Amino acid sequence: MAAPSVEQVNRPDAEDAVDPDRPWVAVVWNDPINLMSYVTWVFQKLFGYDREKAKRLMLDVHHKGRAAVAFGSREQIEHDVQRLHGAGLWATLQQD
Amino acid sequence: MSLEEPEVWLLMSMTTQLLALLGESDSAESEPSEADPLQGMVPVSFDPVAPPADPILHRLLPDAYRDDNEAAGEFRRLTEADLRATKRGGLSRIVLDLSGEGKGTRSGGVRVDLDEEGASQWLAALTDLRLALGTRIGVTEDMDDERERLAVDSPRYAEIATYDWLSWLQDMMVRALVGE
Repeated sequence: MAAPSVEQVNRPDAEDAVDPDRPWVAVVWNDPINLMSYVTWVFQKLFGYDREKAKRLMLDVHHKGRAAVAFGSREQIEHDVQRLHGAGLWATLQQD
Repeated sequence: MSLEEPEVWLLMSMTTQLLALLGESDSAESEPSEADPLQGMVPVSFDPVAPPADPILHRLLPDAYRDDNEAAGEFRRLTEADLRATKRGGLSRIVLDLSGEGKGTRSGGVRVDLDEEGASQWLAALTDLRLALGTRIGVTEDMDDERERLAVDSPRYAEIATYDWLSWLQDMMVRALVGE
């Protein structure tokens, strides 16, 4: 890994600044393969959501193309994204 | 759950193929060499790892960051081996359940009884099989028109029928699990 240059350290770019107070979010994206019944079950199992909430999130993924399914620290959300990948869902994380 | 003999054969065949694909390493450097058996056990590099070139592997092991290649590569360096192991574990569970002693039915099929943990592993592994086949045959959300137009003896028809059967099997298992 390259050492940070002075230019990078001093770059006054607010977009890239990591604000520790802004939570991270796990986003699940729509894909043409995963079944609606399965995605709902995954949200219940991984996050402990009740059936109604899990179904609403699944329908958001299906109709809007994506849904934010979990919020937390970067470490927690990276772990959630890894579990979502384990279940075969297309998930990414980003800062809210 | 009972599976007929041709279904067992089909599942075994697809599962072992995907296990082989997931077992392959994408970078030659991470293969343990004969000269240094420890080489493969420690991280060779601290550089971010590039996504797999194979579209099926890329779908099974997706990028965790959408617009940040460096973060995605770093995440991949730290977690991809575990994710591959998780997926191999689920697929191996299918192989084990289908090849176990004393599970055969009179018709040559197999009876599989799963607890919740076993069902979870099966569902994840069936997802991986559907992602692999679906990616290879280019599944879209609406394929009904194509299904109707295809000749039943075309290879494409067989692929889509196999994909549809996997979908049916998985949906049935989810519904059984949640009591629908």
